[in-house]
Amino acid sequence: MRCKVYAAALFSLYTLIAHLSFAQDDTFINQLDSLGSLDDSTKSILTFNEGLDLMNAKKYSQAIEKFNAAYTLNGTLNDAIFNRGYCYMQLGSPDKGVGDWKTCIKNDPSHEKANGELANYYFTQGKYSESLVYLNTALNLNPKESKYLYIRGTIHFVKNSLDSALLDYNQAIKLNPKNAYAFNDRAGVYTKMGELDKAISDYQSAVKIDNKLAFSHNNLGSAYRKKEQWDKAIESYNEAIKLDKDYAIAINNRGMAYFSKKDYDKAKADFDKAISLKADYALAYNNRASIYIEKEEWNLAVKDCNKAIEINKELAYAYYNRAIAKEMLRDLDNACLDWQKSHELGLDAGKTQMNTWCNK
Amino acid sequence: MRKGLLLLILTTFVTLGLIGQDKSVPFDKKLFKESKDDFKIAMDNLELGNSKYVDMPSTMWSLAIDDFEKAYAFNPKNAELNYKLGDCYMHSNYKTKSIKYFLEAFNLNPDIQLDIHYKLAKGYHLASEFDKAIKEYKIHLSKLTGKDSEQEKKLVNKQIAECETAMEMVKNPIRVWVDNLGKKINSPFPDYAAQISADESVIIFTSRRPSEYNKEMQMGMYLEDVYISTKDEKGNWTQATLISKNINVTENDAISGLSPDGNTLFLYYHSGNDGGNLYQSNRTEDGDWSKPKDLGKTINTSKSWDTDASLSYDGKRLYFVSDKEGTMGGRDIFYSDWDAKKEQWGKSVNIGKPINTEYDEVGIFMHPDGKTMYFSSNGHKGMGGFDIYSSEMKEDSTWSEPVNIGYPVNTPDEDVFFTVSASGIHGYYASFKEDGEGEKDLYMITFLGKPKKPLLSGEDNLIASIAKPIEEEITQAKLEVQVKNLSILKGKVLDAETKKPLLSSVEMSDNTKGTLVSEFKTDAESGKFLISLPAGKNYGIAVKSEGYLFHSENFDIPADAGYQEYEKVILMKKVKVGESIVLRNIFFDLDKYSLKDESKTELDRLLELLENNPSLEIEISGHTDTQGSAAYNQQLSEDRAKAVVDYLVAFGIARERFEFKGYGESKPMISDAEIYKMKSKTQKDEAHAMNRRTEFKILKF
Repeated sequence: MRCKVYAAALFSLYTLIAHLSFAQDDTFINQLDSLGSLDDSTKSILTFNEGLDLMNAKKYSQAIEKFNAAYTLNGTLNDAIFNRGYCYMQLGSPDKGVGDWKTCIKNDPSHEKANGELANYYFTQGKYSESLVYLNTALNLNPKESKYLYIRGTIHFVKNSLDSALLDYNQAIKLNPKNAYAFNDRAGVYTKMGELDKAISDYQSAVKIDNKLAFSHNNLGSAYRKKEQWDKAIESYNEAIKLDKDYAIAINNRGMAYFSKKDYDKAKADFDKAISLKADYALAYNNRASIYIEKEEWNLAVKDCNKAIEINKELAYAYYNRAIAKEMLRDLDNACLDWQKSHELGLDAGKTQMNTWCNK
Repeated sequence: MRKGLLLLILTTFVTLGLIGQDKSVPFDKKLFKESKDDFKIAMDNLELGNSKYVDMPSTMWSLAIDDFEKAYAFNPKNAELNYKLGDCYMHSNYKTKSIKYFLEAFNLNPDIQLDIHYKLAKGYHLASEFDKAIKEYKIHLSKLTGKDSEQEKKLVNKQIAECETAMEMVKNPIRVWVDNLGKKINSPFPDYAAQISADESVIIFTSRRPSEYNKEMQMGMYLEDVYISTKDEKGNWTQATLISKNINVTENDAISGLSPDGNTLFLYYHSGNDGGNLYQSNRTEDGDWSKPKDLGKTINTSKSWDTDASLSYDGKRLYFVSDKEGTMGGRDIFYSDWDAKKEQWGKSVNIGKPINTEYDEVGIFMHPDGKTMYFSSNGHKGMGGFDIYSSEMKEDSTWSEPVNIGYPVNTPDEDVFFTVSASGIHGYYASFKEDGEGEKDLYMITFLGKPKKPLLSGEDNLIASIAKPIEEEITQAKLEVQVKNLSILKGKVLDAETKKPLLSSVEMSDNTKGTLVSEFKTDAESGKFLISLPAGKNYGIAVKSEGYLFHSENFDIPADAGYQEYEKVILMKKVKVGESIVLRNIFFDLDKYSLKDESKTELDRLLELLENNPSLEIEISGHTDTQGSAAYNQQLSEDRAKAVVDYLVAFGIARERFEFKGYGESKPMISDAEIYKMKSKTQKDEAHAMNRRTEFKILKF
């Protein structure tokens, strides 16, 4: 699929043969071969193209056989190695896939797509340093590729280098104004920078380009929620949930917006739903505990916080909230232990409460 | 006389009965021919009740309730009896029961008394039925005519305003827990006027329970005695006991105030024809309390009623309540400053507006933070009766507008005698509650502040190409309770060798101003002392004891520091060759050897020691931490030691009596290895600070 461009040079010959009204299958090439009318070079090209068709049809194992055959016929057919690597990746054999792409680059260091794909692979594996090596090479080879800039921007984002991320996303969007992902992620950067108006504008662009992006609708909702525009937030979450009725994250977030509106019944219904969709959803348990705290149902709050902590022992908020409930149950000693734990997990609010209420 | 008054009251009722639409059933034996015996009993009870109702002050009318109730059981349709029962309940712990009787009295005879609507209003007011109270107050108001009623109209309008305020306050209650202090403190008799030490380890209060001093009731009650309780190791109150034979007497003795360290007690005694005076008692060396001493003519006057007292955190100003000449009306809060030269309290001064009003201000309590005053008043905007207010002393020493501390601590009833712990989290007060130990009990309030906001957590797919969510914090918690900005230093002074407690004086200096803030004595029996250190100052604490080297500590408490407690065991060293002490209140400019002004108090203390002991020869040594090069530290420590010697020489001490040495970083109090093991930066910084010091050692004596 990815090497169709490469194959275009052979288009004329292929068309000519096709016009002979033969079926394009093994028999066809074998027949031509048996006639002694094909040299190895031509044969490798035809075999390569057969591999491409199989790959496009997602018949990866058969495609690999064709690419092997093509490469055997023509050892300079580097794209056969590249495509074989892609097929291995699709078959869930990343080692073989990476091996093929690296071979491809070894044969031809200026192979942009091999560099690009390796960069993307390492990025998805969270190996950002390795990814950046290949990404920079790919970008040197093709500085106008929006996708590479997007990935590099995302690596910067993940590493919290927000200014660098912003530069790359800006460039990615300039090169491809239809890059909805770049808009979504740039909005993420703005969100982290606290520039919520810019974030909202970018999320709006993302969903305008591709209205099916449920996560962008969700993120837009969260940006509105941060601006305390609860109704708009709920509207956006509704869009996200409409696209994916089992989108637990958006349902949990919508619950938070309802909570902020003090519509505790709707909030609870959402947290219940999120938990039913995802039984190990610690955040939703913690949030439901917050409803119980507001309703002064302290024992239920403790129960949900316990569950949240059982699922995620590092969830500082759950310790913090459990402490509130325990304090109101007049179990101040354990409340203080929970606030201390929340502080140890990085929550400053826990320390504030300890200083105020504990050891008095 | 008594019979005459009774006749007057009865005549009034009879007369009024004739005027109104009287459905009242009189106590007439003709009407109860079939139950002559019961009638006679009822009449006896009625007479007994009437005699108490007439003879006793209204505060004792509750004693007539039993008698009237028995008569009421026989004839509940007598308007006059209903009215009187209402009155008696109004002056009991069960005030709201008065409503039933006043209503019935009114139904039986709308003209029973001119003030029936006022009394009904008062009952509703106390029962927090504010709409009904306002309606009845207004009816009463409409019946007031003539010039003579102007004062009463003012009072009724005030009470209407109180109902309106109360409605607002009830809508916005403060969150508190209210806990009965339990059987170890409370009794079936009235217990009230609690005073608490700053660290909440000592409670002293007044009780009307029977005791060896008060074995018989007078006017239905035992007289007042002062009781004390301390907390045990588990933090529970021990059984309250009479405080001391020096304080408890066969007359009324009541507590008026307690100093923050729990060692000075203010008492109220009333004898003879005086209005009641204030006395002071101090902890004695054997742990008892001294004979109370009259606070003197500047505080007490023969004609005035001088009651509640509270000492400022530094012990230099006494706030008290009096109706003496110079009040703005009723009872006011006054203050008097300690005259150290004359060793007596100075002239009393009315604290003035905005604290005092034309009405009464009582129950003064000065918080150990040195700037917050709590008091009760029936003159400020409140719910009715006395409410509790707080006010803060501003930078210019004037007081902020009092703030009502809120419902449910304040109620439409009388809310007085309120004290607050040093941390600001607990308050102590007396209240009658039906589930208590009986009569008024002491309660601890825990201020919960505004509801704590729970923290919610959500997640987003900020990075489209990564499914891994990023967590975010949604709601930030806010401080709900204003914790007091002060620190408490709880110390224990012991002989360094024998470890026995020492009677010592503790000086507290403001290093920034170079002034002595206050001086306290340790408890001779335990060697303990307690000092309040309001935030925002650099304090030098010096402990002195005869025959010992003084000991110094430094507490630099930032203005925004919250409530903290420090505990120190101070080991006093005898003056003998080889002994050394650290001079914690000598300060140098950063990386320099010039002495800072804040060092003056400590240097003067050293100067005094040398002047008083001419044979004393000492070594002054400088020490640094290990930050910086060793050579630099060595030179700096030497220069600093010399600077101290130069100061003392400049003030006339012979140079020959000194040696000075710089030890650089060679003699740390806490080794680098120990510091390395410390987890937090704060701990490490404190350890380095401990190592930076000036010491002196006795070379010859």
